[in-house]
Amino acid sequence: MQFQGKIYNVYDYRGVNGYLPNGINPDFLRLLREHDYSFNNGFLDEFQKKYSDGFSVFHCDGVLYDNDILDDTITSIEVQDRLWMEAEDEHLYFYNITPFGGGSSTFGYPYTHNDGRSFFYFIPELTKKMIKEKDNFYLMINYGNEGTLDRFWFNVIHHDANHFDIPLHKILFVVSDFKIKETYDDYCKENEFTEQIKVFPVNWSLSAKSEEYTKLLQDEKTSFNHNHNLCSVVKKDNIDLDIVRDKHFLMFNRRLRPHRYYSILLFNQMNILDKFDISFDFETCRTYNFDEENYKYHGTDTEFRDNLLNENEKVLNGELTKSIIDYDDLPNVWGFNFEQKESYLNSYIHIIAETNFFERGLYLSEKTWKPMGQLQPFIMMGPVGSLELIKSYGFKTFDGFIDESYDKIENNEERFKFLINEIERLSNLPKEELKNWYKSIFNDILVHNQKVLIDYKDTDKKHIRKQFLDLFR
Amino acid sequence: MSGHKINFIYEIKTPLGYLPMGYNHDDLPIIFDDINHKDQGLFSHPLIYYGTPSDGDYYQRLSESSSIYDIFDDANFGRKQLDELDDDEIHNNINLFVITPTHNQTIIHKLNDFPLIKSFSKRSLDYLKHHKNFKVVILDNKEGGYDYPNTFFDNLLRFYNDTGIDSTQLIFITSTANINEIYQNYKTIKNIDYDFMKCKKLHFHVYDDPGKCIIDYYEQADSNKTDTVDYDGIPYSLPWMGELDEIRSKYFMCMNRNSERLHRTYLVSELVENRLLDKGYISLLQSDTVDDMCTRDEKLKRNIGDRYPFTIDYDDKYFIANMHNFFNTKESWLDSYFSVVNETTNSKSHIFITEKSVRPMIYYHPFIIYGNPHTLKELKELGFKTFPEFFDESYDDEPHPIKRMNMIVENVKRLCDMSKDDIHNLYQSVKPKLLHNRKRLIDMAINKYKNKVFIDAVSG
Repeated sequence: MQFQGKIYNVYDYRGVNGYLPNGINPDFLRLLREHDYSFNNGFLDEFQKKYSDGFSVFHCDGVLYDNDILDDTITSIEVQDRLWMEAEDEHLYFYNITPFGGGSSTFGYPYTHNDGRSFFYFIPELTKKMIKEKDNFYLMINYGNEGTLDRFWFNVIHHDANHFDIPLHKILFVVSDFKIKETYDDYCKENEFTEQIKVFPVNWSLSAKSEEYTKLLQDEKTSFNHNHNLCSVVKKDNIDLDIVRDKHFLMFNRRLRPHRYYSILLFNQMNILDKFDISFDFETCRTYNFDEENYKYHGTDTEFRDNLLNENEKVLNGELTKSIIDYDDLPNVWGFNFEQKESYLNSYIHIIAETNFFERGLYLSEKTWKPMGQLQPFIMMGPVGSLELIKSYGFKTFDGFIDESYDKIENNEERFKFLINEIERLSNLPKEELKNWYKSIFNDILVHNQKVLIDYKDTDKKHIRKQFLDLFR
Repeated sequence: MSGHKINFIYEIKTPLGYLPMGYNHDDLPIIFDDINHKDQGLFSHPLIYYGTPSDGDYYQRLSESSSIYDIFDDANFGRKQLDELDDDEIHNNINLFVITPTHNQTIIHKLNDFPLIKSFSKRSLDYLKHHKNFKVVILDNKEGGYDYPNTFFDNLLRFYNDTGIDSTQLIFITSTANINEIYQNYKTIKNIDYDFMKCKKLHFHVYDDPGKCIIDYYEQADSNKTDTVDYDGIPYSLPWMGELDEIRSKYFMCMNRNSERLHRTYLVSELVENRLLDKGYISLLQSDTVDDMCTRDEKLKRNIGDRYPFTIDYDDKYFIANMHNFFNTKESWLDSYFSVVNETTNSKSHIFITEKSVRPMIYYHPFIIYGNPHTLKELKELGFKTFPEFFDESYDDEPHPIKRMNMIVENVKRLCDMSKDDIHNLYQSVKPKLLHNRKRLIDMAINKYKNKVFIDAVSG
């Protein structure tokens, strides 16, 4: 039977500028007061500066619910519950904890501003009582806007739920990781836990990117995080398929995560960077500290590692500093509302440098959907099984011209080497050949992919919502 | 216009309901932490007052918890969070940030603790600055018998200067009857020739509530066919008209729970000194302060220390403190002819009338009041009758507290020297006035005086 009720996002506090995120540590309200209880960038930046720590933000859902989601406070829900306890309550209530932007502090890491106390410690007693006693009231840890999770979080959830006597089946963990179920099952097996929380994977970025490209194709303005760049998208009719493009590859790298870092070093060593439109900034965006100790998490091939370390000397010597494509200020570029079609019209193959490569799980961010929206073929430099997941949404890929067997290579180091070799092979192809290939797949694959992306919001969202609601039957 | 005409505005909604205005924003960490640790819907933080909830009324208790909700009962009044106001309400309603005292902190202490501006978010201050229909009301519904320190007005003046609001947007409503005189004195001392606020007296202890209680009592007594009505497990009774004609054994009533207010103790001491103890129903309960004073004052020791506590019905002062504000049982009232009221204070710097002065009216007693000078004048202005037939009321104009007390004792002494027949006849002669006073209390309730005065204060 179809769910007939309403879905409520339940908050503990509501201030003069709207709801306050749940699970706030009260000790840090003073700074929030100075910002008049607004969770704007000003507050978040100042918090980061003052405490060298992230502050969880909220309202990061958007995929699980449609516009019918209702916000309310715990006091209203609790009062209604008391008043109408005799009546049948078919609604669903979610008390959201949103670690986005502050995962470590949310789960109470000792060096964070919460200093050893997870969000559980900041849930009011009244709310805990509702979670425990009200059948259709759940604690939702909504990490749906991120996909990189720390398995230690499961430790915290199990330990603190037990400490506060909150039943595990009343806790839902939402994350943008399509292997969350396997990961969590493995965790429970290792720890011999029989009682489990609910986990649910959600692909937030596909929906959000779909909406963005839909607007751009209709020449509507877009905005994100108070940013109102004038953006553009490649339209089918814009393209002259007979023009030979200048570059083989397009690759965006804002944060220098390990796989991006290594690949840039290797492309440089192979002397093929001139075949790229590529962005990186080793001075201001160097988030990965590359050394022997860190590398051991990513591979065991010492010869390969030593080669990378040698190449890294060039970075340290300042021979390799910065390359830009469209925006110069890389630290302040976001995955949304920074779309410029010109970037995609100058090259043939988009190398998707996903957020994760060596990490556990299967998380696809907004980076994956850019080539679909901008009519480009792509190679996925991301987690194993990424192409399989992409194809499950109806998108087509490029096996035959590109060797996509990499998608099945589970060993990260091997998959990485395979990708580098494949990119090197493609870099040796004449541009004329790439042009002809591009032309041959244009309608059948690229235009098709753009259409699948645009149509996504109207079809699969409903499906995801149904799957989500089925969790609570 | 949508919704209510007058909205009480709150800044924060918490798991325990709206957070009453008047907290210091710097204290929010403590407040939130306190709230987080409670699973009952009652505000109990020292900075937060919450009135007694109606039994079973969870909605009121949890969602609307605020003393204001208890004070006013009017369809025109609504409660909204700042963030919930629509455009129409923002522009057309009267939107009030109301600050009340807490149960253990008077408004004087509260406004001495921190600058008033710290009670407001930037957004609230912005609304106050740009919308004249947003106002701050300091509503002192609890006490009123203060010697107002200059720091109280200093804080309000600073708020006025710092926020750029109109003087009509900062309103102090209090039971202190001469508040305007006190305010003008402050302005004179500080050499201020403009208004920075508006003061309004509202007799919280006289308007509405006594009348409502009287009506409620008779409705219950009538439907139960009994004289005794039970509130929270304690029996109460009021006299019926037909019970007023019997000869009574005592001359007067003089009730004093809190003997720490020493003017009461000294008045009782004088009554004892004049051998009037047996002539009336007198209560004076034990207190350490009085015990201490008796070690230093021989006369007090002789009259009080060696003989008290005096009781009429109950001897547990904590129990009495939680009794009905206006009622007890009628027997002692029906067995005496007049009341000697020992009000909250005897200071000449303010006028503060409480339930103590109202009780004799409920129980059909003429009264003489040891309180602030001009208390009788104020009661007459409120439409009540006083009793020159019984008392030489010139004491009401006497500013010196000891002289006033002595004048009162002389009155009591004179009346107690009368024969029973004479005082009985005198009592019968003022019955129309007694009925008038009772009726006046009921009229105030029916006509919702409290709401009217409040609306008048916050409008315009």
